[in-house]
Amino acid sequence: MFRFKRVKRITNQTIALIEKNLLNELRYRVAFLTRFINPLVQIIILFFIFGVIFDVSENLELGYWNTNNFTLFLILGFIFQYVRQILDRYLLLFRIEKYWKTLPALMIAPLNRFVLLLGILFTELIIVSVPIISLLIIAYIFYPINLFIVFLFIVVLFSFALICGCFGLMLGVFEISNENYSNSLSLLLKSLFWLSCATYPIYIFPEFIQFLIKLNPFYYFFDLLRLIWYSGIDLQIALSNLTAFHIISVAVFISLLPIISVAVFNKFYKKYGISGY
Amino acid sequence: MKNKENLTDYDIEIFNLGKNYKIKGKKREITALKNINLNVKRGEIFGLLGPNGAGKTTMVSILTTLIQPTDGYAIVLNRNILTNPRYIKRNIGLMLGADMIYYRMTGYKNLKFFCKIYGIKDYKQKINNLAERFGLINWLNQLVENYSSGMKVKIALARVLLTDPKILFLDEPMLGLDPTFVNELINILLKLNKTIFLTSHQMNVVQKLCDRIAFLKNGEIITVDTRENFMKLLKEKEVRLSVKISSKQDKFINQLKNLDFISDIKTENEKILITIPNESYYPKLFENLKNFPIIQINEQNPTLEDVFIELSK
Repeated sequence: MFRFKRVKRITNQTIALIEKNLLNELRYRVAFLTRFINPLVQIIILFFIFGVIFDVSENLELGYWNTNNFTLFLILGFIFQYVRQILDRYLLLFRIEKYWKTLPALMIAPLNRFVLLLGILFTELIIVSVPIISLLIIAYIFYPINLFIVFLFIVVLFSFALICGCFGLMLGVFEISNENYSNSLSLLLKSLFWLSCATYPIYIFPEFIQFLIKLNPFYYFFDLLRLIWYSGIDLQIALSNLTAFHIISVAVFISLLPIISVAVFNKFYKKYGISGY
Repeated sequence: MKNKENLTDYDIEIFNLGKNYKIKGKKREITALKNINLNVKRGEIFGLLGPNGAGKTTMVSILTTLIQPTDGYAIVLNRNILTNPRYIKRNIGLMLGADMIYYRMTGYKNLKFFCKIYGIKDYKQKINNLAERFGLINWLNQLVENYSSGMKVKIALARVLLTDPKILFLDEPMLGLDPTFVNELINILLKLNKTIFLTSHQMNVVQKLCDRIAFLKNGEIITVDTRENFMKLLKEKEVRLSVKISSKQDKFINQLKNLDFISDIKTENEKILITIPNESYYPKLFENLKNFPIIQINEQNPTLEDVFIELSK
């Protein structure tokens, strides 16, 4: 009974946070729409680079990626990019609330930090769901697979969003107390994303960079997501490319990061509080 | 020591509270609060006065568990701020001017949001009651950014009162408001019958509202006393007279300057303000003034503003 009450309270608080975040976003609707258009511009540029400058239409052979399935590689990469942006949004939202001077109202409220984590995460997922679902439909039309595999893909994609949210919460507390740290750490994470081969195959890099990439857990995350989709096209190839690192990196991230992020947020907020306005 | 949580008649008890800050570019830490000891009785309206940078907001932030002290501790609602912040957060209300409100949302959506965060069930009725009480009922569905400064303060106060807190912490709640709004809010606060911990620069607010007043300067409490005793502080020391004369003002001032017992002479509009050590100097003063065309003489009671300026020196 007690637990049910607690879950109900957390759910209500999360819904309230989502509603509040969306209302604040929708105050300026044209500005809100540009959030979809900006990543589209990046997509067009990447298609241009790969499709025209590198001319991938002939004789492409990068691991199990080739001329026939490289578009899928890119579409899935764009989906990762959309989800990855959630991390940056945490920083922005915490900064906005700091300067709006609304943050003390949240900090003084009896609000579990998991609610903060989930409230921002679901707000951003609602917003990015439009382009992500569009891209998933495009991927499904050109590379149709079993719907169960699509569901599995979405579940793992959600766990990636949760990871982004956890990093966002950790960086968020630095955004509140010291923007130097949050922006430096954000740069570090961006480097990790860049070295994760979200939108380009690992095989295009020299061997020593490939070695570095293989130390990056995010690489296994994205590769696993691609392999899940690819298993619907060719299960044998997908399984032959799957390693223990794929499963371990995803499992470790998902099981530990939410707890760590909340603990980090609480510890640093308690110690340093709000500063900078 | 930190577990001292016995029931007392005080809603706030502060023990040796201190707070040091590290400031960018300075090696040494800055002391924002130093060895503060204070008590606030249940139901009391307590005013914390002090010049800018005295440490008032830091004190409120510590008592509301927003930041942690470097030294000492405080008991709020019989709970230690260091060991039981959750209970305190649930039972207090904090208002930082007209902040802590989302200006991009309507007044109603703001209040609804905080009701949901605090788990208030019958929120529609509660919001309407508060809006009616504060004269905001016709503005509830407008964006807060369109509200006047006074209305923003009212909606911020309504947010705080939603949870029916046992203590209200109000940090500069009436800054920038016109006197009508100030009086209106003072009346609202007086009718609440709650413990209120208030910081303000507006002496008329503190003078009308507070039962007891503490004066904070450079992070230290200079004095704590009742409002009446604060007034006496200056009255016992000096007497101020306001004199209006029909002509020869310059000559009159020169004459006054020659009197060594007069500690201060000022002109304000058409009046001349004279400060003397105490009432025993009246005969001597009037003897010197008898040849001037005096229209009016008033004894001016010291205001809290005078006390504030005197203590700030």
